[in-house]
Amino acid sequence: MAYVAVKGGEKAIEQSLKLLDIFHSCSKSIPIEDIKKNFPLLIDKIMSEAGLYAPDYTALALKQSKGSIEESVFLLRAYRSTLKRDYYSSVCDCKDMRIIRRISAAFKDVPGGQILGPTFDYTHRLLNFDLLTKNRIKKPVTGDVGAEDIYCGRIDDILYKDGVLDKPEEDNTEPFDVTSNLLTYPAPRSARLQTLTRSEEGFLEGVAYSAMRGYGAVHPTVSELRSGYVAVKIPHPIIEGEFITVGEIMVTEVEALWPSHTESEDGDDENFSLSGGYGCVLGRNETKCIAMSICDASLNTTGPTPSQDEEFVLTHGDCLEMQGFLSHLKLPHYVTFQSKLDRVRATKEEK
Amino acid sequence: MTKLSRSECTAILSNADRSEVEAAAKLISDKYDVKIVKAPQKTLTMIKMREPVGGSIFYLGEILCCECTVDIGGVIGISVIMGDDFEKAQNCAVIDAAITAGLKECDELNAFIVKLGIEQANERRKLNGEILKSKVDFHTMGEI
Repeated sequence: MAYVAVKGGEKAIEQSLKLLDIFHSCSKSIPIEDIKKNFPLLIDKIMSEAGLYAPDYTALALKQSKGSIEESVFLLRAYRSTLKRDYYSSVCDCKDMRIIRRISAAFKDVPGGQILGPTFDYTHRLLNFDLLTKNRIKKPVTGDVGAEDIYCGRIDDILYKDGVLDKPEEDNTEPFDVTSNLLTYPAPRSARLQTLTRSEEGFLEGVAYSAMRGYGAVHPTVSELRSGYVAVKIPHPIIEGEFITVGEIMVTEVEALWPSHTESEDGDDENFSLSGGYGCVLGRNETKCIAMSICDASLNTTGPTPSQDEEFVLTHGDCLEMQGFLSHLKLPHYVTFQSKLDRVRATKEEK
Repeated sequence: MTKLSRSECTAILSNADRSEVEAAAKLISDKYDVKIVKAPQKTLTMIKMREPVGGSIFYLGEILCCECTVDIGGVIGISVIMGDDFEKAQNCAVIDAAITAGLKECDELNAFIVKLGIEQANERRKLNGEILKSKVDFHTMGEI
């Protein structure tokens, strides 16, 4: 199979780019700050799939790409590749999160309480037509009762105390980095979690949904879902033992639990134990985070379904890779298609 | 007066406005010669996250940051701060150098940053109050 280079089309391409502006032009340019403030959950989704926490640049990418999520992820990943990664944080832990929302579907009463925080869960899904005409939004009044920052331990602690969940030993193995190493299977746990957190939301949710509907063996309980701010620190580059706080990032974390079942060889003894699945994403994206925990849990089970196939789940969820591979079909395939046509013609002639 | 650690200090500065950080750095830069060793530039910080299910560490993603290195009287000051505000990064590096050098202005600088921290905490207090109003108050209904 040979490739044939073709030339031409430069002027057409130039005009195509101009047409992007002609077709998507508008009289008002929205300031980046307004995009960020009006679409925070969209910004979070893009940052999570891009694997880059940069709200301002994400809003810029969204503006530049006329609202295309996949183009925004592409722009951010491309930009990120021009920068050096000079620093690695100290190990963050969501148990130290400054909480804005924290719920449990496993226990009614939990130390620290169930805090609903900002959520669409209880909204009526009715269009608010006031927003058609109202451009100035009145800020809700806050501050009549103040309170300290909200921190609370994980619900796991209750289960550890109760002896129904084993506390894992800390494993300080340096993580595998899927952005700079080729992933091979079986993948290290760190590679799995990094890949899942960067995965496209729809893909991850589809896989998790399939696992719960019967194409898998997991229907867990959300032991805890929490969202809030986590401080990111790096070791000071020259002063040993001291740290620089780079900033705070918004993160969502989910831990899902389900009883796993084992039988003795003779089948006489049954054992149930609790197993967990873990989800953690940049920003606020609860459904993705729950889906991540289910995918993680499902990959710990064995079976023939897609959600239990590590290579399937970890290879097909990257927004940029899937978009790139599908989009390449738009490129000229003149020679390969001619070859296919020749085969069809030959078959017809034989008949 | 509370003596802030470097980590607490930088946490407050990273949340502060550019003008507030500039005002803090001016306590030093007005009195000392500041040499730029590495001009402010963008960089990335990879986030290491501990997960509770297996106890392992994984990479959650990168943060866009900017960094700067300065020299005050032979003492190096370094900043790495989230975002792309070069001026803020340079001023944070000045403050870092002052802390490392233990300059006589450090008490005043510490007081300034403590005050900023209190203002930030007060702002958060209002929001925390609103968040806590959404804490669920369960009532068990009687058996039927």
